[in-house]
Amino acid sequence: MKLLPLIALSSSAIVHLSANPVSFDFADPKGVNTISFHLDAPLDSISGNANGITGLVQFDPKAPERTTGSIQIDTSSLYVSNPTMNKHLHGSYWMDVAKNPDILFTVERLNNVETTGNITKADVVGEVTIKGVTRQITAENTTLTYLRGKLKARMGPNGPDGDLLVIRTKFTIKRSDFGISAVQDTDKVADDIEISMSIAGQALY
Amino acid sequence: MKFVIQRIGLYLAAAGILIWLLGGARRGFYVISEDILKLDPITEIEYPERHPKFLPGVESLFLGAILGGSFYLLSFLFSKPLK
Repeated sequence: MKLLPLIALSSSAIVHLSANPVSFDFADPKGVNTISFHLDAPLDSISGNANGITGLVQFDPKAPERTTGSIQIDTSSLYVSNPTMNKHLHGSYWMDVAKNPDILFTVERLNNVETTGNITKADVVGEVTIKGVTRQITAENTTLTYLRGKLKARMGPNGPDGDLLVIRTKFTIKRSDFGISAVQDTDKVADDIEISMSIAGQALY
Repeated sequence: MKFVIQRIGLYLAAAGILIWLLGGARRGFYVISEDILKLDPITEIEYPERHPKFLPGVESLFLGAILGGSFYLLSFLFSKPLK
């Protein structure tokens, strides 16, 4: 009988040591998840958003450096506020939505990881695939905020219990690297595409 | 007659400038929606919420200038013949 607390303690220690990463689903039922893009040039600037975001990220709050996963963006959800520009954006010279339905971001590893409380800052190393072209990227100063048990508070009293993971990052890719409107003069449309991502994933208990 | 047509041209050019200024003097082309930033209180994510709204762009300036200029040139068809 005296052994029971000891067995319970040992079991707890084993569970703690072998804690597996939790899978966070980034298909946000609240529709908040957005990726913004911005192209600046002397003659014109183009800004827009995309909200068709899905993907899974494996995150272990006890070992955030082991974070991996991928985020997909439905290319048809990319939009700008001018209808003509939007048509061009979805067309074959730009994103060629008909042939390339997704943009893929994969997280391979985290470098320079610093964790304070529930916030982890790191340089995320991964790949981005656009129009069938894959390039390696490093998103410096990416923030991962782990919100333990906050899912119900976010989804309302009838919502499920669970955790949230918020990822905030900014990085730049080259339009020319991915064959996006490759014939377009860079005086009119910038080659650099600044991407800003603020997304929340949920993990149910 | 020439004076009246020139006046119309002037008003059209001024209307183009006025519409552009009232639309916020935007540097880009016209838009049919406006993003209003909202805050998700739990995650503190700031996200854009799209609302339909027409905002004129630089086209109104160009259109005003072209129409105004056309009327100005047209007015010379009504010039008094030189004696």
